[in-house]
Amino acid sequence: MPNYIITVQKEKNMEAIVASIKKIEGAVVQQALDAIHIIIASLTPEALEKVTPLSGIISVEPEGRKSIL
Amino acid sequence: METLDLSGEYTGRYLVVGKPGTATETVKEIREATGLSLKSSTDFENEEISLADIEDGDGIFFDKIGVAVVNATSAEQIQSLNEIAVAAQNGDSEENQVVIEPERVCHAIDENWGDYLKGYKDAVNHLADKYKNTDEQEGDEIYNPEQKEDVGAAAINATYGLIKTRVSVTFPYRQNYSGSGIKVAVLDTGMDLNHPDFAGRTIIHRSFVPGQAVQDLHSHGTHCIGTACGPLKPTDPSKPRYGIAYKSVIYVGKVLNNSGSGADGWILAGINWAVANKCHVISMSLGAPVSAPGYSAAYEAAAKAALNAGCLIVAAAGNDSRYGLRPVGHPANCPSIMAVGAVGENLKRADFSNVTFYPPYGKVDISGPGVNTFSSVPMPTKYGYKSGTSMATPHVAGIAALHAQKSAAYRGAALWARLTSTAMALSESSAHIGAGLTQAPYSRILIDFPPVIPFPPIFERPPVIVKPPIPIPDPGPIQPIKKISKSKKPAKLQ
Repeated sequence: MPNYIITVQKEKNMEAIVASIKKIEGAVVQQALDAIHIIIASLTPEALEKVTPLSGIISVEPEGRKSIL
Repeated sequence: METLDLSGEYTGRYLVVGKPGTATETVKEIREATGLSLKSSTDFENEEISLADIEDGDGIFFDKIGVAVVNATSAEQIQSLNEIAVAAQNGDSEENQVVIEPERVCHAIDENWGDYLKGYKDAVNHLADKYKNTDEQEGDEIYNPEQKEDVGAAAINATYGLIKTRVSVTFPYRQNYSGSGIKVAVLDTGMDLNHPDFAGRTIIHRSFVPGQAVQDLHSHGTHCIGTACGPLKPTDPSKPRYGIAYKSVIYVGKVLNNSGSGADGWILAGINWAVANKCHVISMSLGAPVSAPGYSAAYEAAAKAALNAGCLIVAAAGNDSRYGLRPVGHPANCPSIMAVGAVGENLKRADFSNVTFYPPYGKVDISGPGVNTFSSVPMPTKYGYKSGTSMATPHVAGIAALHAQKSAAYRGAALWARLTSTAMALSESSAHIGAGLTQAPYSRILIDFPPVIPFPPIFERPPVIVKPPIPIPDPGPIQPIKKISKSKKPAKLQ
């Protein structure tokens, strides 16, 4: 399953969003980065469709790679 | 509305800043709001206005420059002027934007040369004493005498990057900052934790790369950390100084693997770790090319959260422009991440350094030295040269730490503003090099002459004792010189 970067509104409760994502079948939360309001999660295509419209989520981006410059 | 610095001297009047050529409208707006009846400079012949004209009445609007001097005396009038300014800030008065500030008293910087000359000898003596006793303050910067010898020696032998950015300065300038008390996070390939140049330093480290320790088996991370946080003096005395914030607390976040690449999740986890640990600066010499406008909402959110927490993220603009100008890469193209371009020793944009391509986003914000940069690499090689916007970025990060040490006010967005406002303008487009070459805070050694002590009047001078002359024996009358005939034989010696 590919990883996605889920950006959460800073006013929202991260724990509640994490709990919501965990309830979705095909979604596995990898990391909850509280200080920057971001959740890294593995999502199946079906789970992606359910996560994206969740309240309090700004964006869902596929995880990419970066290199030295 | 900004809080005004009211630490100076003020006249009691207020300056109201409007738009040039809007005398009628601005005068009307102020009259309606405050009841003050301002004159317009256009009412005066050739717009020649004296101080008396300003002091007489409620004030004057200078039409050509769009500034009014207002004699607001009551609290209600000042409040009304403030309300106009607030309305302007909120965009309620876009057509005739008005801001106000108290009128300052300015002084000419004057020197009394007569007194100066009279006190010259004392001043020189004072200056000599000053250099003997260096535990004095220079301007607003406290000088640490313990550092003087070291900094002075290092200034002679430093990399071009440190010299061009004023990290390393020589007389009559002085570098007082070391990054002491500032936390600098470098998110990269890790660090050689056994490098002798970092012995004794406070280093907090963590790897976000699954299955790999922080130990840098690539060299990129050790090189970047060396520039941002390396020592004042390398352990090899033949090598130049290459480190900037040499007393900073180093946070090593390994977010790129030993092959030099990493997942967004690792990098974001590193940012989160640095922010959670209250780092003041995050240096990210990493990225990926982009080919379209836009930026990552995730990195932007992370950077905004960091700025709000008092942490500035600087990131490399990217190295894709050697064969044609290319846009600032990701994540440096996020508006809340400071994008760093590279210049060479000649202070020209490095040919590889990416540029502003999709304004207003993805701008190069500032530049740093990034060509043939000398710094630390893992043992046993110990030192090496690298080029890239990766090398420019830790220059900015290290210098950011020096500014952050200088003032606790320089945090987050304020630190960003400080860096860009103090950068040295270069003769290239800001689209290529941003605000210019990053510059460290430094102080100029000012000659602080003591109060002049005038010479005492003549009649108060101590009496001059004139010693009698030493008698010289009279040599007697001078004998005329006798002519010697050539034919005459010399007298025989007796």
